[in-house]
Parts: sequence; C-alpha cells; structure tokens
Amino acid sequence: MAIPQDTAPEQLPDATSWRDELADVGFVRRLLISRHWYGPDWWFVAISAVMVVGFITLAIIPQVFAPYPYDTLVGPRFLAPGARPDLPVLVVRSDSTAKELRDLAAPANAPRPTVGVLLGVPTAGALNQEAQKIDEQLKNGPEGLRLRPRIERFDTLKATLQALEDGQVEAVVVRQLEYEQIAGQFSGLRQGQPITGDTATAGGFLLGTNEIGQDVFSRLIWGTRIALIIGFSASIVALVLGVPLGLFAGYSSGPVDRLLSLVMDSMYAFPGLILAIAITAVLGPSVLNVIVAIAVLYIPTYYRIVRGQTLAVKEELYVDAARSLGARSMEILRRYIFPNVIPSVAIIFSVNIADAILTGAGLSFLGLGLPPTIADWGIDLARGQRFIQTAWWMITFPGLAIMLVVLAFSMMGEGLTEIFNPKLRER
Amino acid sequence: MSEKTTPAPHDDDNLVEVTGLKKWFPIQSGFLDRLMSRQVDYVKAVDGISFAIRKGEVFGLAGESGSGKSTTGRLVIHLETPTEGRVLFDGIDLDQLSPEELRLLRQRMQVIYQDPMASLNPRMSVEEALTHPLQIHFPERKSEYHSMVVEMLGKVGLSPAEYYLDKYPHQISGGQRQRVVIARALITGCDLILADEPIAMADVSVRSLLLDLMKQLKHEFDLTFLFITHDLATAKYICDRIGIMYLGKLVEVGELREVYGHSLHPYTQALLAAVPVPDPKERRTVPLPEGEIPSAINPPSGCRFHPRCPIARLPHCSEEEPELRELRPGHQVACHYAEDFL
Amino acid sequence: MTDDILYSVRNLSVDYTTRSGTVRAVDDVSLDIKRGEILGLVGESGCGKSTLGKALMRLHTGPAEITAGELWFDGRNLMTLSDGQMRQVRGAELGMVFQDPMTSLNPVQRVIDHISETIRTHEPSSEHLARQRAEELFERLGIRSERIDDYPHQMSGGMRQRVMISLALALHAKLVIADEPTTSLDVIVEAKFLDLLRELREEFGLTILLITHNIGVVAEVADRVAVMYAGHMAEVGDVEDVFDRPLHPYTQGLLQSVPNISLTEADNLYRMGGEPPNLVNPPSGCRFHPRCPSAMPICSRLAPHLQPAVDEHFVHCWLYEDHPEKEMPTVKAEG
Repeated sequence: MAIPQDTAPEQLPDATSWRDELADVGFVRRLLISRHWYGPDWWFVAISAVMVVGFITLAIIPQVFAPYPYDTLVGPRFLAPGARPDLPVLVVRSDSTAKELRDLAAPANAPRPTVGVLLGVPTAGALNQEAQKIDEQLKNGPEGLRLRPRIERFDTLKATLQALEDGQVEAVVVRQLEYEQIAGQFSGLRQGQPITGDTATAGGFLLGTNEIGQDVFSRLIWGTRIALIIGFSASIVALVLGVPLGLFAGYSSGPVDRLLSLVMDSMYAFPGLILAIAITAVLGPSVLNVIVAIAVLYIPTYYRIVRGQTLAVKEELYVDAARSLGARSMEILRRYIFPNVIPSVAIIFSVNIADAILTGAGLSFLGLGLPPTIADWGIDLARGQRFIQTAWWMITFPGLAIMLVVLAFSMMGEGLTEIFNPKLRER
Repeated sequence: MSEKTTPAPHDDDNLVEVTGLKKWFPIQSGFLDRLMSRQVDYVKAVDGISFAIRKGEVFGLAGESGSGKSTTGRLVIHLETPTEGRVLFDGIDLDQLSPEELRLLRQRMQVIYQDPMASLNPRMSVEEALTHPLQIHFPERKSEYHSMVVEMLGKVGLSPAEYYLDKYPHQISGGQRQRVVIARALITGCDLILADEPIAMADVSVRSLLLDLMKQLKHEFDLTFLFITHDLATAKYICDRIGIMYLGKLVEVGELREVYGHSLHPYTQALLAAVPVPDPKERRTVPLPEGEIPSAINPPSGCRFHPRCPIARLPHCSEEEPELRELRPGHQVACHYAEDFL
Repeated sequence: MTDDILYSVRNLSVDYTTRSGTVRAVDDVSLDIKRGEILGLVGESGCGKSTLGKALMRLHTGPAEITAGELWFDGRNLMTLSDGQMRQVRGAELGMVFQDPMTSLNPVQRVIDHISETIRTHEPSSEHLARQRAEELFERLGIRSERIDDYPHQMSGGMRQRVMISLALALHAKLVIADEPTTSLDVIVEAKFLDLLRELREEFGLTILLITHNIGVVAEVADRVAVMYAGHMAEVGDVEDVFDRPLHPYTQGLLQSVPNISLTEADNLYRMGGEPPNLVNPPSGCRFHPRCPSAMPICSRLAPHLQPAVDEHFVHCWLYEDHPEKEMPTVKAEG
C-alpha cells in the first residue's frame, strides 16, 4: 500500500494559498499592500517612521540643516522668531563698489570718508566701534589702508538718505528695517551689508535668538544629535544587559531568579528621575555618565518584559518538544525561546528611546549630566525658563522638539505593538 | 556503554516496562498554609500502574479526562520524573541515568503531540525544525542533513519536498503540519513513539489519512507506539493492545479485539457503550453509570470506580483496591467481580 | 409556510470581512427545521456551520455580516426585525448553547441567580417565583440541589452545559441551537447529555439544531441530518437515508473515513485526498471538486443547486442535477 501522498498546492488548481502569492512579492510591495490589512495602524507606523527617520537624519548631518553654528553668537540677543534683526546697515549709492564697512577704507593720506547717521540713535556709537575694530586690523596691513570715517548727523532719515543721494556723504549707516521702509523713495541707492554681526545674518533667524545671541533654530537642530545619542545608547546598553538577565531568570526560575527579581524590582520601584539624578551627581557631568545613568534606569524594564515572556514561552508546547528531542538548555534558550521573546523587546525598544530622551532632557534641565558647551534641548529649556515672559520662544521650541521626538518614537512603538500582537485578526 | 546503560534483567521482547508507577503533583498551597504546616494535598494523576509495551506493537492507553493517560505517557519517556515506581526502556532504568545520558537516549524515544501548531517553533522553518534533531544526535553527519530532511519529507507524503523546506508553520495547513511533526519524530531514527492524541485536532476528513500514514511508517521503520487517546473508535484502527485507565489506575489491559469484544470491567463496558457509533440503526440502549468522574485529589477509597459501578458490592469494593489479574489469556482486569462477565 | 416547519432559512449568505479579503462563510444556503425534530448540522471546521448557527439568531457582529437571505421563524422574517425586537426573540423563543460554557456563563454570578435573573428580564415575575422555577428546571435537568448555588467554575463541564440548556428552557424557547455542545465533554458525559436532549425533546416539545463535527453524535440522536462543506449545504435528509445511501461524494467519503468502534466494521478507512479549502480563495464551481473522486468538467465551472434527489433527500451535486452542458448523464438515486 503506497503512502497517501499529500497533494502539493500546485496540483490543486484553485487552492493556492494567498500567503504563497504574497511571498513572491517584493518587500516594498508588501509594505504597501499591508496598508489594507492594518488600516489606521499602518498610517500610525508610517507617519511615525517618517518622523523618526527625519530626526535621525537631523542627528547625523545637522550642519546641512542648521543655518548657523550652535555656539557662536550670531545675532542680536532676544530676537523674536522670524523677526529680522534690525541691524545697522551700510547704504551706498548704486554706482559705488562698496558692500561692507571695510570697503570704505582708504590709504592713510587720502581724504577721510564721510558717513551719515541719524541723529539721536546709538548707530553712531556702533559705527565708531566697528570702524575702530577694522582700523586696528588694517593698521598693520601691507596696503597701509585706514578706516577713520567722519560722521555727519542728520535730523531725519529722509534727510540722511537725501544727503547720500546728493553726494554729500559717501555712505550712510542706518537701521535696516527703517531703511527698507522708505527705500522706495530713493532710486539711486543700494543696501550693503550690516556693519555688525556675521555676514550671513541678513536673512534673519527662523526661531529667534536666545539671551546671548545664539540662533535657537540651529541649536534645535544640533540638539537632535545629543538627544538621539543619549536615547539610543542608553536603550541599547539597557537592552544588552537586561535581556540576557531576563532570559536567564525566566528560564532557570530558581533562587537566582528570585534574587535578580528582588534587585530589579527595587530598582524599578525607585522613581526614575531621582535615581538618574543620584547617579549623575555621583559620577559627574559627561555624556557617558548620563548614558550610564539612564541605562541603569531601564535595565529593569527589559528584564521584566523578557522574564515575563520567557516564563510564558517556556510553557509552550514547542519548548517541550525541543526538550523531548534532546536539546540542551542553552540550545533551547537560543533557538526556541529567544526568537519568540525578541519581538516584544523590539517594541519596547522604540518606546524606551522616547523615554530615555525625555529623561535625558530632564537631567540636563536640572543642570546635571551634560557640560554646558553641548547644544542640548534640556539646557535650552533651563535657560529659557527665566525669560518665559519676554522671550517665550527660547523655551517653547526646545519643548516642542522634545515632544515631537518622544511622540514619534512612542507612536512607532505603539503602532508596531498593534501590528505584531494583534488583538483580533482573521481566523 | 556505562554500567547504568547495560540492560537489567527483563523480558527481552518488551521495549518498555512500567512497574508501580506513581506521579503525584503537589497542589500549590499558600505561604500561610505552609507556615502552619497543613497537610499538603496532591493531585494523584497516576497512582500505581504497571504494564509493558512489546517491541513493534502499538499499545493504546485510553481514558477520559483525569485518567492520567497523558501523564503516564510523559513518565514513560521521562519528561516527568515519577514520584514512585520504575520505567525500564529496553532494560535501561531511566531514573538512574544522568541528565546527559538521558538527553542522548532521547534519540530513541520521540513524541508526536496533539496540537501541531503549538508543538512547532513558529520561528523555525520546516527544514530548520527537521535539521535540529539531526544536529543534536548526529553531529558528525552534517553534510547529509539536507538529503536526510528531503528524504524524510517524502516519506511522510510531503512532496515535492523542496516546496516545504522554507515554509513556516503558519504557512502550511493543519494536516501538513502534523506530517512535519511526524517527520521530526522519525528523523532521529527512534524506536519508540509517544503519540499523544495525534489526530484529535485534525480535520475529520484528514484523520484517516494521518492514521494510515502512522501505520505505514510503523511498518517501514519498525517502530513501537504508545498511543494515547480518548477516542476508543480511533484506537480500534491502530492499536494492537490497549489499556483502559480510570482516575490514575489501569482497569483493564489486553489485545484490543479481546478487550472490545469481551470487556470484563464495568467502566470499559460503559465507555464502549457510550462512544457514539456513526450508524443510526446502532443507537445505544444500555444505561450509563451515574455521576461524574471524581476529583483526583481525593479519589474514592478501595476501587475508584465503586461509587458509579453498577455491580459494586459494598463493603468489599469500597475497602479493598482490586489488583490487575489475568482472567483470560493476555487479558488483565482490575475488578473484584469481573468473573461475572466471563 | 407549512405548519410543521418551525424555521425556514432561505438563500442565506454570510460574509466575513478579513484583512485578506471577503470570505463567504455561508453561501446561498437554504434549510428547513421542522417542529419538534432534532436536526443535526454536521461538517468540518471552517465549513460554516457555526456561522450558520449564529446567523440564525442574528448574533453576528463586527467583521461578520448577513449579506443576503431570509430567516422565516415561526411565520416572521427575522431579517425585518429591529434590534430591540430581535433581543426579545432571542432567549424567549430562540435559545443557544455554546461549545464552551465557561465563556457564556457569568463567572461572578451563581448559576441559580443567572437563571432567575434571565427569567425576570424576559417576563414579569417575582424573585421568589423565578427562583422556584429555576430550581425546578435544575432538578429536571439532573443538577443536584446542593449545586445550584455554585459559581460556574465550581461545576464540571457537563453540569455547565446543563445550566446552559436550562437557560434556554427557562424562557420556553421553541428552538435551541446547540453549537458543538459536547465537544469539550468526556464521552460518558457526552452520551448522557445526548440522552438529555432526546428527553427534553419528548417532554417539552423542543426543537433542536445540533451543530457538530462528530458524525457519531448525529447518528446517535438526530432525526434528520444536514451536511455542510465549505459554506455550502451538501446534503440534507432523514438520518437513516443519509447514512444508508449517502448521495454526495463528500458524505460518502466522510462516512467511510470515520472510525467506527463496532468490531464488525472493516479495518480500512477511506482516505480522502486534499484538505478543506481556504475560503478566501475557494475553488471555483462546486467547492468540493478538487477532492471529489467523481468530479466532472462542469464541476469546476459551475456550482450546482440543492435539489431533492429522492423525496425529502436533498443533494447539492452535479451528479444528480441536469444541465445542458453536462457531459455525462445524470444519476438517478434510488429511493
């Protein structure tokens, strides 16, 4: 009697498994097709994935996105977002070649240039200051150029500009915004560079500047890097330590398990931020110490999740089957228990990063952990706190950034949870 | 072979010999209870059974829930340690082996479980699942693994083998999964198969295929089966001998046709009468025993079946536990008054 | 509708919306349940019998939906009733017993309270009277008086199923739909439960639709049997007719492949090829054709209709149905 053959699906015409067809399709197609299956969860994960990728990109190449370096004083202090800094600019006639103040320098024996300013505003003071600075540099230069402008004051802005157009003065230094308002009335004039600050600042500061003149937006971009470094590193360290401990404890279930669980539960019961504060206070301020402090905080989380899963998986029939095959304990842990426990860990990891970033920001908000030279959202929050009435943008945007990053990672974790552990699916 | 694996004196025809086997599970008592040292209660899942399985036969172990049949199966291959009693596998006392020796001996005894989906690792492909036992027991034959897997898939009727190699359990049907489980058990080249309700979860129209497959493979590979089931109709098609269990004890053992045709124990008779026959003209007419199966924590005294037994005679049946005795050739029964049925 | 038919199902279709597409779990099924009979609805897992059972009580929610058909129960089309009216019908006229009573009994309520409360929900009655009636029912159903104050988890499986039946009886249900009521029970308990069903039918004039995958159970207790396969009704007829002269190849194969405990039966079982189909992508035409030893070319193209082959013996198969495109002659079944 021949052994009854199980007819392979190819031979049964209409019974091809839809799962086989799906296996033939590429990964990308599968991602897109799954939109129909998972519905809103798919969008959840997709949107958060895009956000996460965006943040990671910002962290890797912040210089591409940040208009200014994060530590230089690039602009006026307390500039509101989007406001153009009202810098004093050089205005010359259209036929003049001068662009910046430096261009007005002339040889020592040439006549000194006249520069007009408006009466009653401190522009003259700034002009003198800048001219002196440039003069100092030029004094010892090879061409023997000097810059010692003679200042003429006018009653009104219009008069000042008129004098320029008439040729009475060689150049005029006025505040940029005021000038732009009436520049239309004068046809022969051209605006040059601001006389103070960095050359690139005519464009303005997207999110304003802080109390010492640093660009908030650039600090935000650069801050991503440290936030994600701390978030990822702390989570990875916690995972690398917590998962094996959890596996071991769950599998052996003896006195070792009890002892480990005791330790871990005590750590878990400790209010997180307090523990992190204690550790950083002891270890001292540095990025590495912050990572260690936060990692210690989260080891119990991984431990508990993995231990719980291991306890459950350990009772599964296929683990029993592995034992009946004659597999060794290490083999069972490695090939049967670990792969079935890992998906839950992956989900926790994502949410964990969000939490770690939050804790890291909290620590630096309190002034612990990070040295103040690093651009960090927590530090910015702390600094902005004093000026919340006057310069609200200093604290708002770092706060929003923290919120968005945490949201992105949390959403991704939640979305993945729904997809990997579905509550109610087809039969 | 170490001293311990040299066969002890035993009947050479028997692959498995079970003597006085007991398994009592302690009930989890609370901390306070233990503190005040109240008497611990036990679930007496298996309470003193003895039988033998001959080489090359299919020995059935049948009973309802709480009978202890599944636990007995696990005790026979030492997936549980007995509270009392002895299991000899080919003359080797399993309890005396070291963990490592036992592990290696597992190559000779394998399990086919009831639920194929649960007994296959969801993260292992068919090929990986079948290769793993080879890696454990034949580490030196690495180069042959692939061909051995392909050959075994063909033997269980999963053809073409290449189609199934990279599939995961959820990608194949229930019947195919059970065949993979069977293949996994056979690929070690074992002598004994513990089949624990192997077709209970399969679709009805597929069960006969699987039963047939097991019979075929038994002949081809010269296997011995311990076939555990609650379904006496199924047992009829595959078992050579059968043992009926009730509440942790063996009540009747013998050749299957003998036990079914001339059952000597009231419980066996009740079971046989209760099984629904797929023939409307053969409806049951005999009455059934009263009551339900009692708890295994406090089984009835004396003969466990006495509260429900139609021929129980008190106080004899409630005081003295009957022993298994041979009333007809090859046919043992544990009942004081079984002679009534001769 | 004739007086002896209690429930007439006409052209019922039930669809499940799943991630991988729409599954037609019940496809254009028609069935009559006669007053006072025990009708056995038998089929394998996935054939749609449980779906059909729940549809008869319009219990489907969420992804499952009745997309076509009429449910004529005792002269009324249940499809036209509002939710509120349907709620009144359920319980009072239609009762259901599920496979796993643990999930359908309130775990934090004593069983006697559950029954009396149900009685009082459906009809005005004092607490005392309701409890009295519940006690009487329990006694009739063999639940000992010392157990009536138990919680469900304190009772055995067989007892719980009896509580479920008493729920249905308490409200004088006309039809009880029992969905795999004995699958989780031991064989002796199962046998006694089937006895009980027979007795209740005699005593209370109960009509019972017994859904099961166990052919033996159907043979033991049913008057008529309906065989379902892959969402279609394959064969319907008197139990002796269907078992003696099965017409549908599936029924024939099934009867020959099921183990029979009597020693006079042969030792060889028929082995049916293939497996029950996946209903997301079912076979075309007749859904059984890939596994059918008598399949004809027309079977893969068109689906047959449920026709009476002999008297009241209906079958859903091209072997017995005429069609201009059929290549082979129609089989005439003997009576």
